[in-house]
Amino acid sequence: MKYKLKKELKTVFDAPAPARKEEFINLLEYPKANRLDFFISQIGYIRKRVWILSLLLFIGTLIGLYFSGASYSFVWVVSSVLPFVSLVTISEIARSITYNMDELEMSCKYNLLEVSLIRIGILGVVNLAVFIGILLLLSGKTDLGFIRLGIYLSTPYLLNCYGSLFVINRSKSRDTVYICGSVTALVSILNSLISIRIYDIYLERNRMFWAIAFIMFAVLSLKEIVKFIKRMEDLKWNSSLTA
Amino acid sequence: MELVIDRLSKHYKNKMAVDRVSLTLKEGVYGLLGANGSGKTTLMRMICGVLKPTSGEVKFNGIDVSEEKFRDLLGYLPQDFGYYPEFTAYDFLLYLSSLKGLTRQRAKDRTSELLKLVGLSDVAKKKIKSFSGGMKQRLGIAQALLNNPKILVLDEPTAGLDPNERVRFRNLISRLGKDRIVLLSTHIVSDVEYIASTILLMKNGQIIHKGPLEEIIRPIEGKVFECLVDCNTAEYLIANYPIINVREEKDKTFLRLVAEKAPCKEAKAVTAVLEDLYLYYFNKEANKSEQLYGIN
Amino acid sequence: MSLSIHDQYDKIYKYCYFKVKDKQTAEDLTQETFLRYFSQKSYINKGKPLAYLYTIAKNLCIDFYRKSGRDERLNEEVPANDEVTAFETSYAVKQAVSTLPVELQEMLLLRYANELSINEIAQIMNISRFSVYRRLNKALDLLKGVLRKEDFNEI
Repeated sequence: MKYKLKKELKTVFDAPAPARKEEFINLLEYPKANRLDFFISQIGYIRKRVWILSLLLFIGTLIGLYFSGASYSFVWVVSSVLPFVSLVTISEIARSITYNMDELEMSCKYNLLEVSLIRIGILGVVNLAVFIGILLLLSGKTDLGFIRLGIYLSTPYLLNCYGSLFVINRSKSRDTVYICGSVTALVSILNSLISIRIYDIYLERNRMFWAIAFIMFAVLSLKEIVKFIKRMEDLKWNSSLTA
Repeated sequence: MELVIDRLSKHYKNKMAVDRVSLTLKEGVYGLLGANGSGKTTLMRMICGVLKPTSGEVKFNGIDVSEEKFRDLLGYLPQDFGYYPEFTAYDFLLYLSSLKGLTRQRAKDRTSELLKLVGLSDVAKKKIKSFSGGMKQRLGIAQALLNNPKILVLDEPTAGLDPNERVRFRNLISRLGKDRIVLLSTHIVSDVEYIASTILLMKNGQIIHKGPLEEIIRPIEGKVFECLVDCNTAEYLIANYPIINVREEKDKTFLRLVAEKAPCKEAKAVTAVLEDLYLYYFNKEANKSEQLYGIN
Repeated sequence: MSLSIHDQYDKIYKYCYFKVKDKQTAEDLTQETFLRYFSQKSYINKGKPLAYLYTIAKNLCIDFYRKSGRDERLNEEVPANDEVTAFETSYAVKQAVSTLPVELQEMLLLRYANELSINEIAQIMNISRFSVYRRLNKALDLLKGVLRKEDFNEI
C-alpha cells in the first residue's frame, strides 16, 4: 500500500502544462562552468593510450624485475622505452595542431593556450609519477643509487622531449607527429646501441658525461616548452595558416 | 550592442592582406563578399582574435578582442577545421562546449538541441570521419552556436552545402540575425543577397563598398546593358568595357556589360543585381581572359 | 549540482502552481525564480544546491501573496482537463491529499512528486531532518487513514 501510495503521489500534484517554457529557456543566460570544471573535463579528454602506456610500462618493469632482476641491461631497456612515453605525451600536447583543431580552440572562451597548458600540466604529473614509480622499483634492486639511476633513465627521455618539441616548434606541416615518431625511434635505438656498444657507459667514471648530458637536455627541453607556450600565446604563429 | 573595428591592418612580408579596415557592426546580418585572396579570411580571423593584427583594434561594447570575455560572446566557424579522429558529432560538440565554458548538463542539453537544429540528430553517435562535406559543415555551424553567441562569425559557411541545406541555412541565419551580430563571408552572391541587411564588398584588403543591397548597387544602376552582337563588335566591346557575362549564341554573341551609356545600338539597359556589381569588381580580369579564349 | 533546466523548470512550476493555483502566475514566478537563481554570483560553481532554487521559489510565492493580499488557499481551482482524473485511484488519492493540512501537502509534493531528498526538504522548510521524517510519516499515515475510510465507503 505504501509503495503504491508513493507512486500515486508522484502524479497527484501535476499541474497543467506550462505555456512559455521553450521561449524562456532559449533566451535564458546560463551560468558558466568555472575553471575547475574545465580542468576536470580536460582530464577526461586525455586519450586512453597515455594511461595505458604508462600503466603497461609500470607493470612491465615490475614483471621484468621479478624475472630478470635488476641488471645494467635492464636499465637500458627501460631507458630505451621511456622515450616512447615522451612521444605519446608530446603528441597528446600537440594534438590540436595535428588535427587542425587549433583555430577552433583559439576562438573559445578557454582557448588553445589554456588547453595546452592544462595538457602539459596533467601529462607532466602523470609522467613524473610513472618515472618516480619505476625509479623506486629499480633503485631498491640495483646498487646505482637513486640519483644516478634517475639520470640514466631520464636523459634519453629528455633528449627525445627536446627533439620532438624542436620539430613541433619549427614544423608547419600537419604530419609533425610522424617526424616526432622517427625522432623517438632514433633516440631509442641510439640509446640501446650506445648502452650495448659501450659496456661501461653506466659506470661511475662516466658520471661527468651523464651529468652534462642530463642538464643540457633538461635545459633545452625547458626552452622548447617555453617556446611552445609562447607560440600559443602570441597567436602570431597562426599566420602560417594564411597563404 | 556594437562591434567596432578600428583601422585594422595585417601585413605579411610583401603583402597587405587587410588594409586599415574600419567598421561598426550592430545587430543584423552582414555579408562579406569578395574574391578569393581579397582578405576576407584574414579580416575574420582578426575579428575572432585568432590572428594578431599588425595594427588597429577590435572591440565589442568596449571589450577587447584579446579578452576572455570577448571570446565568451563569440561563435566562430573557420573556413577549414578538423576534429580529433575518435570524435563523434556528439563528442565534438561536448568537447567544444567544455572549452566554451558550458556546464556539463547544459552542454548535453545544448548539444542535442543543436544537432536537431542542423539535422544531425540521427548521426549524433557516428564518427565525424564518416560524414559528408555538407554534414561536417553543418556540424561546424552547430559548434559556433553552442554558447549562444552575441557575435557570430562564419567564414564561407555554405561551402559544401547542397541547395536544400543552403535554403535551411539562410532561414536559420535570418532568424539568428535578429538579436545578434552575424558576419558571414562568401564568394557566392546568392548566399547573402536576401538575408544580409548590410553587404560589405572587399577587395585587395579594403572594404570598397558597404551598405544595404539597394544602396550598394547604385553605382552601376542604369549602367548594366545586354546586347546580342556579331563577332567583331563583341571583340571590340570585350576589349573596351567591363564584361559581366558572355554567351555564344549561333553566329552571334550575347554580352552583359557595364557602361556609362549604351555601348552600341543593339544594347538595352537592364536592372542591376548584386551579382553584376560583384562580377564588375571581382571577375573583370578572369572573365576577360576566359571569354577571349572562348571566342578564338 | 548538475541542473537540467528542462526538468527543473517543470518541477519548480509544479511547486509554484501548487502554491498559487494559477497557471499564469505560477509560470511568472517560475521564470523569476530561475532569473534570480542565475543572477547569483556563486550560482553553480560552489554547488549552489537545488534547495536554494526552491527557497527562492517559496519566497517569491510568499511575496506574491503578501502583495496581492489574498488568502493562501482561497481560490481552489479545479483543473479542467486533468488527465489524473482518468484514474480512479489517483482521483481518490488526490481527494485524500486535499484533506491534509497545506504544509503536509507541500511536504508530499517535494518528497514524492519532485523527488527531493530529506536533507533538501529540511533546508527548504527550514526545519530539522528529523522533523521532515516525522511530518512525512504523519502525512502518509493520515493519507492512509483517509483512503481506508473511503474504501469502506465505496464498498
